[in-house]
Amino acid sequence: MTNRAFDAGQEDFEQLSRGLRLPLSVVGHPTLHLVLRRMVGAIPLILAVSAISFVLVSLTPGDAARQILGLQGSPEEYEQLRHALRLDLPVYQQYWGWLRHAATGDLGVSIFSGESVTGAINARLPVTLSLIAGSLFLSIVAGGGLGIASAVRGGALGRFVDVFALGGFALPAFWVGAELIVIFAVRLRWFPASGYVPFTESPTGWLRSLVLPTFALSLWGIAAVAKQTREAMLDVLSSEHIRMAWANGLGARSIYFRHSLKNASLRVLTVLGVQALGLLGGTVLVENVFALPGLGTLVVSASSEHDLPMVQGIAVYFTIMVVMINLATDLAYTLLNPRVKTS
Amino acid sequence: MDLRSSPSWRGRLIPFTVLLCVTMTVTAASSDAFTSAAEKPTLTIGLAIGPSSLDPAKDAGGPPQTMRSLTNESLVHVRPNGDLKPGLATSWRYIGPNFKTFQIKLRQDARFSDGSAVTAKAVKAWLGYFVKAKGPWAASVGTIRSISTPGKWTVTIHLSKPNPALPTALSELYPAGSVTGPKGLAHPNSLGTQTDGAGPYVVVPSQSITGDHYTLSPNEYYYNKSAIRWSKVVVKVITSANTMLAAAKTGQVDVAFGDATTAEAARSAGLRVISAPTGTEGLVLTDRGGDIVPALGDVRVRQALNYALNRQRITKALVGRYGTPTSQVLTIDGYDSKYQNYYPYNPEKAKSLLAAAGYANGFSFSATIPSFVGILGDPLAQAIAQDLAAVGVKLDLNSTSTNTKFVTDALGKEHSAFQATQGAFPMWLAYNIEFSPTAALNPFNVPDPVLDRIFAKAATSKNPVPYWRRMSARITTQALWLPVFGVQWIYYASPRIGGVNVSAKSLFPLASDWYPK
Repeated sequence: MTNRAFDAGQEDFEQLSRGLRLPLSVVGHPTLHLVLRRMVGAIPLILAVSAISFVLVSLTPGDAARQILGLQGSPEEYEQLRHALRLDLPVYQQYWGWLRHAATGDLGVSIFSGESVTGAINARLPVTLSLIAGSLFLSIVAGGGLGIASAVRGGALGRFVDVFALGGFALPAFWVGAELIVIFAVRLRWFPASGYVPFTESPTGWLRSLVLPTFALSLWGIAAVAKQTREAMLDVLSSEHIRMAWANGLGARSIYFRHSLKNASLRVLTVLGVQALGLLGGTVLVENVFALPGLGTLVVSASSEHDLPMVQGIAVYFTIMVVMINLATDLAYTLLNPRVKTS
Repeated sequence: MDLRSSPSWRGRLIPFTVLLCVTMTVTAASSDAFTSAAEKPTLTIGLAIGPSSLDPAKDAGGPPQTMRSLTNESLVHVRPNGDLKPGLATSWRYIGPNFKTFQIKLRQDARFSDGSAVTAKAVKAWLGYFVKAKGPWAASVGTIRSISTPGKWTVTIHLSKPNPALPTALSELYPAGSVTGPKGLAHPNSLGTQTDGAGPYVVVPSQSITGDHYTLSPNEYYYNKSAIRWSKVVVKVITSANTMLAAAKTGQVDVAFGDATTAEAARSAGLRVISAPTGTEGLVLTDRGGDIVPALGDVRVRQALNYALNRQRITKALVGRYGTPTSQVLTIDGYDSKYQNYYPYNPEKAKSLLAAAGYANGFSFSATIPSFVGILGDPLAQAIAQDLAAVGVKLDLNSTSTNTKFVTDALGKEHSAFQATQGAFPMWLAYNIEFSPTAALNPFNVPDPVLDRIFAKAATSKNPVPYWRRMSARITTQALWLPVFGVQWIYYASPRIGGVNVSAKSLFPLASDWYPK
């Protein structure tokens, strides 16, 4: 299926509808077009990202054989291991070998542990997704709440948001995390200092293990969302149609939430989209501070150890996640404002 | 209507806030305390470095051996005082005069985690696999020519060259003795994430995440049920020293791999701090033949570098009481106290030696530094450089940010030295890995005929210890290294855990020795 199908005329839609056995209303739906276009567009993106990451890791000094043997390996042992691991092949041959398997869904195994790349990533994916989702949730709730309240009340609260935003942007997440550990884990013993508890093992433990790292990660997001929400709300609240709404006697709740916030949310959505993308790679320091088994620490260790199959697998996963985040952002735009075209 | 004055808004907010606080208080109050006394407790260990692989043949060894002592019982057991005791092997001996034939007798009731017996055939298969895998510690067993099994429980190892340190190599200190069963060897790729040893515990892959934590459950086939003291063992990898301390202080880990920067805080928190010199920190002078920097080929110059170092000051500044200034490379069996302070700080003597060697105006050389190891990286390197600069020697630092880059540059021929933490090996192993003309850590293949002759005699002597000490003396007097201090590995133990010990001869505390108090 190519892009040409999506830009086809009515006849082609009808043919497509018959071929897929789906109603014309579905096949011709612009949202479905958007989703399908993005999914197809992800393929060349994955190819490009995987090729670039492969070359970059290959260009850095050293290789997996060096990492395995360490200082003890003799030059002969090193060359033998390189050959056994096929690291003496040209880079393009190594990449082609990986690509052939990846195309069938086989992302290979870790050079060090022999563990399936897919298995290793899937084991850590819930941690990273929990951190990202939790951080976004906190940003929306706390940041949005602060932003709305400061826009509505103004005065000291507005100034607080400005100062809070400065602190949120300036304070690095890993430092905040370390301080949270000292206060809430060591002194107060409210939350664990480290580690992750899977939700399936204990929902309460899962929640407790995520509170501190999520807060450390979301500080920037809360600040950004609060600031952006406040500015956007103030803009909208000063607009003519809102003044008309007040004049017509509409309730405050309706004016603030139904009319103003909805219009202001498009700008906030942009911030959230950027935050989500940043969190993909931004979790690594927090994962390190809290000893969380997320994708961030995995990609750092895999890159430094030249575990090429693992690096490639993570690159594929990250690319798919970026595509999905962008798609989710665009779909959210259309939901909030149907006048925004999806093409 | 002004939203701010809406009673319904406040009416909803207050109960929500109360509910949130109650929920947080309830969840915060829950803890991981021991359950009833009748149930065995869980042991949690914190390691700063995880195993690079659960396959002993491919693992880098080191502190993760603490965990391996639980899953893969070794042929020989090393006590904290360095004494070698029976493990899976009930006895062992060299046959003949030259340390080239080594025989092991196995206990007959040991079982791998799949229930199969630890027979001579299984041990033979394991050692063959270990050598063939060509992992980082393949050299520790020497050059095995063949392995025979004259009886169901008897293994005879035939070596091409003498190896008087084989019993130590087959202990928990190194991976070679961590026997893996035939089932695991039949699927070697599986050994990266699971174990098939004959230890009291076995890794549960479904409850483990490689590189983060490993959950161990009791091996139902272990021959000594009374040695299974924990219902479960969890090994967590925590790379941040401060987080490790926090985890130890809050009871999240019972025994933690510590750090000189957090040791005093651990002690103040009531944790038992255990440490012992387990290696040497300093510069390995690989270019001692003078291939790149001719000056380093002169023993007077190398001795001058040693005299130039204020070891006391550097040790105190960087590691405090957790380091011991030393002029000698620490080995398990070659240590001679006479050489501990062979090079007292004496910059004037350093300058006179340099002048005598023709370098009164100094010279420069470069060293590869692992920048990713905290205070034992760049800070140590800069302290060394500062002292050398005071006698006119310029040390250029080739800082590396990853281990692969460090190893690549250290074993290359572009730089004259590299900075390393050298574990206290048996002298036999130290010679083969570091000092022999073909050693991996001797990239310039610099020979020392005197050292080689002493080694040749030691390797065939019934009592090699005096020879090991002579080698230690030679290494020190010839200044093949620029040692700074004996580094200590530090562990924090909860008061609830007993038996946690470490010494210069045992290197790591072995979890198999621990017990709940």
